[in-house]
Amino acid sequence: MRVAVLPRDQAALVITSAMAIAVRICSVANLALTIPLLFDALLSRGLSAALPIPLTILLVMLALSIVTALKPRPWLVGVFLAVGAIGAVVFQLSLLAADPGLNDDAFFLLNRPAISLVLVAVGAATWLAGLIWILIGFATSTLASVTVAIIATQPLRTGWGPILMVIFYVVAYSVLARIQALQRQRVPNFEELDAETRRHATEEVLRDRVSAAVHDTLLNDLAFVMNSPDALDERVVTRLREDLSILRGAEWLRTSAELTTVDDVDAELRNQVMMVVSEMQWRGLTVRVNGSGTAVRHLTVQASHAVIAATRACLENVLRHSGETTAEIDLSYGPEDVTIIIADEGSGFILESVPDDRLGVRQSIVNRITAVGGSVKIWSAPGAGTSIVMRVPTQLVEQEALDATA
Amino acid sequence: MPPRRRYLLQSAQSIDPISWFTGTNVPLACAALIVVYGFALIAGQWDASRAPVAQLVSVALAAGACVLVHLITRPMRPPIGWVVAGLVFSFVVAAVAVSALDYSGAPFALEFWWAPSAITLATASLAPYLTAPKLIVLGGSATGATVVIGLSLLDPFQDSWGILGSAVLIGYSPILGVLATVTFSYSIVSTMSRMLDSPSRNEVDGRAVLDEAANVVERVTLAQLSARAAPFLERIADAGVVSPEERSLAGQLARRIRDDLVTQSNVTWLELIAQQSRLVVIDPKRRARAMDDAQRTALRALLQAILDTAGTDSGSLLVELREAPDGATAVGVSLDIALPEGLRIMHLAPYLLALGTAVEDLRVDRHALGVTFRVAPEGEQR
Repeated sequence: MRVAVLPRDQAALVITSAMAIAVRICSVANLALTIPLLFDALLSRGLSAALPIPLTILLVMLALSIVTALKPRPWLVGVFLAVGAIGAVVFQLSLLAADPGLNDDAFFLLNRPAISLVLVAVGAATWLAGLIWILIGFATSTLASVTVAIIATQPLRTGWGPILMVIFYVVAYSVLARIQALQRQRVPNFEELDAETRRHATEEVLRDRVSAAVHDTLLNDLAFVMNSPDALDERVVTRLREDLSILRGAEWLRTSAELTTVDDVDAELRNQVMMVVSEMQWRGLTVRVNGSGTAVRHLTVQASHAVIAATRACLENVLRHSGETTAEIDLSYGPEDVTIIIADEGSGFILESVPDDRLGVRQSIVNRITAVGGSVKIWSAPGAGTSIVMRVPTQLVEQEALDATA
Repeated sequence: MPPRRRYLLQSAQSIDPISWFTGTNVPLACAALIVVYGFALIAGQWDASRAPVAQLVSVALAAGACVLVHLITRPMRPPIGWVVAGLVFSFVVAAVAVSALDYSGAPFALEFWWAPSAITLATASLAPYLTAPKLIVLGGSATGATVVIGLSLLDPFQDSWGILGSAVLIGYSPILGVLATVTFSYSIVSTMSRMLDSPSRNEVDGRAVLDEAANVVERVTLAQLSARAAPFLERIADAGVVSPEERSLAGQLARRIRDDLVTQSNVTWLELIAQQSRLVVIDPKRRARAMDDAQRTALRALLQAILDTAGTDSGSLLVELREAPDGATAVGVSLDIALPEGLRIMHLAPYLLALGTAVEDLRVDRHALGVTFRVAPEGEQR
């Protein structure tokens, strides 16, 4: 998840594009509103015979403006400008031929097609591109008026409409440009901040992983040294070296949530669990392993590492605190998760009374499993033993139970 | 909710508040255009006015409506509702009526009547702040009212145009303005919504982030924790024997590592920031961990902006997080800052607006700078 604010460049592009769309809609509406004006002007003067030519021009320009509004390709806008310029000239000349008085009484009608020439804009554009297109349109519109003035041998008259449209949109685009310039000065780069947050969050997870690893290796090894006999046997020395090697390599820090092949992961998980069990048995804890179901599940590498480490921590707790010499591991598979229950019948404890500074349960078990999307439930009471239920989601059911095929 | 319906319920400002905190220039630009355009056309038809001062008053009324929009859309003001927006349009329609009354009965060219354009510009001034339906209803009503007023008071004295032509002439500018504004608003909301709903292009390379973070943690955290114990255990493994002194040292090292682990596991991301500044964090339940990435980014940006502000006593910056009964987290940020209120709000506005997109119930005390907000319980977050 990221801050729900678009990067400034994207936001500026969207706003400028929206302005361009609004300009095109104005062009369409301008031509559409000109049709009733044309009817009113000609019919009220008894000039219905003069209607077909200007009406056809308006309809053609309207159709073209709708097309350019929907598909604002530069070449289409160019065609609209070319056809529209000719249309604007013929529109004015045909009406002036019907009634030269329209030049004085209804000039508002005469220059409507010329106004649509000003209202052109291509698609996603910067404010500068939008401004350039408006100015190109204004130049074309003025050219059409000049042509009319030459052909009709009248003084040049563009009317206020095109000029007002240009002024309005120049102001609008300038305000937009000013806003965007201020944005760049005042708005932080949320992209960078987001990336930094993600890095910090990852570091937080990794620090938890380091805590758990140090707890399970260094801290346990130091505890073992404190209580060890004077001479260490080969298995202890090997374990010390393995733990040191784990810490030095630190490859487990970079273990990502990527999927690996099901066989490798499951074999790894099974082998690792059995190694933990074997080690515990050597240290005096008898572990019985039960299971149900024969399905094959995908576990992420991260999840399988979490399961192994948490299982080790659970058994370590049984060995050190329960006063019991036996424990049970029960593995079962659900449709979407794997459940691991580690139970003992030892002295038990009151969960709420475990002080905050005891990291064995919180850090090595709960945080580890929840970090990979799993959940942990602990049932324990003094004298009634302890059961820890860890549930870890599987990513994909590769193969359902094969009992039937067997 | 279907996307199209959702697009109709948001304004350009609500979908992207950052773009419009400096956008209050838009209403001022519209006010200026009303004044310039109004005066120009009034001067052009000076003789048609029975009392030119009435025209000037109506220009002031219409421009004032846009200035009102400017004032009510200053950063951190609440969104504009129907009533306030209706009030703005009422001012402009009143300006139209005053102007029409003054021109009534005079030889006057409808196409040079400035007042309908005031409706256009007032609608444009509200473009970023109103939803498309509000713009259609209010802008459409104002346009209708303008046409009715114009036809009632001005049309009977026209001889160039029939009733249809007069109606189009009067409504021409407002119709174009409302259509353009509604298109503008809807286009921004729909496009930005789609971009925000699928921000995949903004994702960074997860592997690179992981490697970078792993390097930092390995270099600092792991190295610190294992600095003394690892060589000690290596020595023991090499020797294969343990002396009583070494047992004692193992106990000391174990206690120290345990203390370090406890300290480390209790530190949140917010406290890490506090360690690098004079920021004070009160977070006994470690609720900072309940915040998602977007909330963390937005709050971090705000805190950094405050700390970077000249005149801020960074030691007075206090962030307090408390668990609410419903599982949510109540967060309060307070500080002493020497900047005047206006400057302070403008300086912090983008950060507060960004924070507002990520949390709930953001409230800003404008006078004694304090910010409070709520982080929804896990599972209910946006």
